[in-house]
Amino acid sequence: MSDSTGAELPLRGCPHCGLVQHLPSVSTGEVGCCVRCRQVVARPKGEGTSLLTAAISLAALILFPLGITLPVLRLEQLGHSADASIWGGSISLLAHGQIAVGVVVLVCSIVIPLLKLAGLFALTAPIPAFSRTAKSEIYKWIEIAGKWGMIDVLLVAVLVAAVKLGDLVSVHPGPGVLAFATTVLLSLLASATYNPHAIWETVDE
Amino acid sequence: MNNNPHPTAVVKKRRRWILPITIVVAAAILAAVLISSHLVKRGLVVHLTMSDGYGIKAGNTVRCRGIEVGVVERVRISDTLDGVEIDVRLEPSAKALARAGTLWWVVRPRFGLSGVGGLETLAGPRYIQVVPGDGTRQTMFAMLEEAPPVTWLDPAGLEITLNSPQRGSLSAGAPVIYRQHRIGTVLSVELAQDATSSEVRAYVEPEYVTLIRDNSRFWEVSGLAFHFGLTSFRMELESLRALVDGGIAVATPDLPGAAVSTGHRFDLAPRVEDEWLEWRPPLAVGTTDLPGDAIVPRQFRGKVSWKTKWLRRKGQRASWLLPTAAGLWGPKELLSPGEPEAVLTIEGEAIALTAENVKEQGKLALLLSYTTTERVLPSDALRALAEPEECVVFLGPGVSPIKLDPGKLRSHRTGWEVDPTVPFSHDMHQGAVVVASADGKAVGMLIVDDGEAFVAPLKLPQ
Repeated sequence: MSDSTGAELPLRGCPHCGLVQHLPSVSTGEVGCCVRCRQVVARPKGEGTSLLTAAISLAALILFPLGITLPVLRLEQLGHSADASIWGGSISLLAHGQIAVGVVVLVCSIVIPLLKLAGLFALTAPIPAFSRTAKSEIYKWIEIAGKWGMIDVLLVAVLVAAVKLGDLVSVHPGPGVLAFATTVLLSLLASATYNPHAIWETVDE
Repeated sequence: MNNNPHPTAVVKKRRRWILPITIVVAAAILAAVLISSHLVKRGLVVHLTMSDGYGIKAGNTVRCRGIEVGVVERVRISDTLDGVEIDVRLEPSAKALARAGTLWWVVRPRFGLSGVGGLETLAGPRYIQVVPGDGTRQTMFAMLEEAPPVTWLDPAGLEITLNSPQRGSLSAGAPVIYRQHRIGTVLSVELAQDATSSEVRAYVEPEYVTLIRDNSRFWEVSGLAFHFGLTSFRMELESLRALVDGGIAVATPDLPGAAVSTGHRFDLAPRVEDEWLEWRPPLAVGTTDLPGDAIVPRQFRGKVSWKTKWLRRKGQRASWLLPTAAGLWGPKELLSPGEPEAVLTIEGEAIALTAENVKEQGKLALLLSYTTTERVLPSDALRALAEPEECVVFLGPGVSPIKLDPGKLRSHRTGWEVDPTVPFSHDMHQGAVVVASADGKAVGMLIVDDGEAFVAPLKLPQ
């Protein structure tokens, strides 16, 4: 009594309007849209939203070096002025013997965010670089290390400095702030749009 | 078909590349804009070398004409350990400083017999002082160890060469002195090319160029001189600076000779002759805008006072006055105040002002009965004023004359109205003499009334 085509197609409820419907097979360059609300319900196998994630993480990777090397703050006090960048700040911490603090800042604000973005890009870039097990492994480490990446906290620290030091020294935002803030935003977006199930969807074929 | 209650999702084509590519391209454009604007704002790096860093560090500023034009970026010892290398980043607007001839030195506090300087660096940070050159572009410089004796040779100044049989105690940086006022600096002391004499190159500041004439006499002052006599012992000290570096004094005879130009050679006498010290020629100082033979008007400060009827208070006014061969010129409000029992006080002498001895002429008045044995301005040094022309306003001794541009003057009835943008005040400038730049003749007197300045003619056209 069952319809042959209907039985072979998987069933899924639309995430937007909840209508349960069959998902047709969708090839590259196409999407399945809900019959009722026209929102996307099906994507080609393995694609997920990975292309968008790849683009966002690539954009963040482009801006990341600028964000940490361009001066983020310009401090002026009694005629002395100093440009502060994140890279220069952590290096000078190390150079002044503050090894522990310097390493924490360097790792949490530069190394881990960079690795996280690079990992996301490697997982989602439309180039067959890694096997599915390697991708799973990379994803596991991104999840573990990602908790220690504090690039967004650093932005808050910069803002606090700009607001609180106002009376003692004059603090002006440098050109690095724009690049840095954009990097933070893109990095959050990349994590949010990434769909880890895409790794295993390809496997099912 | 009808048994299946579930519909099938619709398949649509989608351009899935557009959004991702847009994001990446936008990021790349943002990065390019940031990098290029940063590179433009960074300015130019110049490399300086020096044998001693004098405590300069990264972050110290570079100053030119009193403002900050760059920052010391890096200081390190040279590879061969025989000097210091300093990298300086100039602001984009100061890029033109990176050219041959630019002088760089570290300003640091100096105390010594030869002078005190750089005191602001005692409490504040040291800085690098720059004097711009005008050569070709260059980014490598050797710094000076000391501030140069003269940082900026104004082309309007005068460079002269003095021949001396021996070197004496002169050294570069020593002052050139006129009546114990410093008017210039010794630039170098060297053996003449044929070794027959010592050659002193000296620079005279632009405002004192008129003091040097072809019959001027130069002599060396060592700073300290002793005179022994049967009944007296006299010690003379020109200045502490002269004690260390020596110095050159100059005097010009009462009948000054022709003006000299750069490169003129004089003899340097080892000691002064008494006669030279008595010379007192009247020479216009402080302006290069007058011809060399112009007679500088000598001005007096005069005060008029009178009694007011009602409260028996004294009213009074003061102004500059100009003695001429015809009499004493002054503002009408001073010489003809229109008050009873007005008395003019000038040089400690009181003169009663009456209708008989004062002649009014427009905004000015002439006191006929005033006679003085001192030098007065001869009649031929006065002339009538016509169309506005370039002028110099003299404000009495010790004050630099003010140049008046013809664009700031406007013909008005008998005299000229001065543009209100030129700041003249009643208290300071009332009665100042206006001398034409072209021929050095006195043409008018400045009258300031309610903040409006007016040049009143000293001589009416015939």
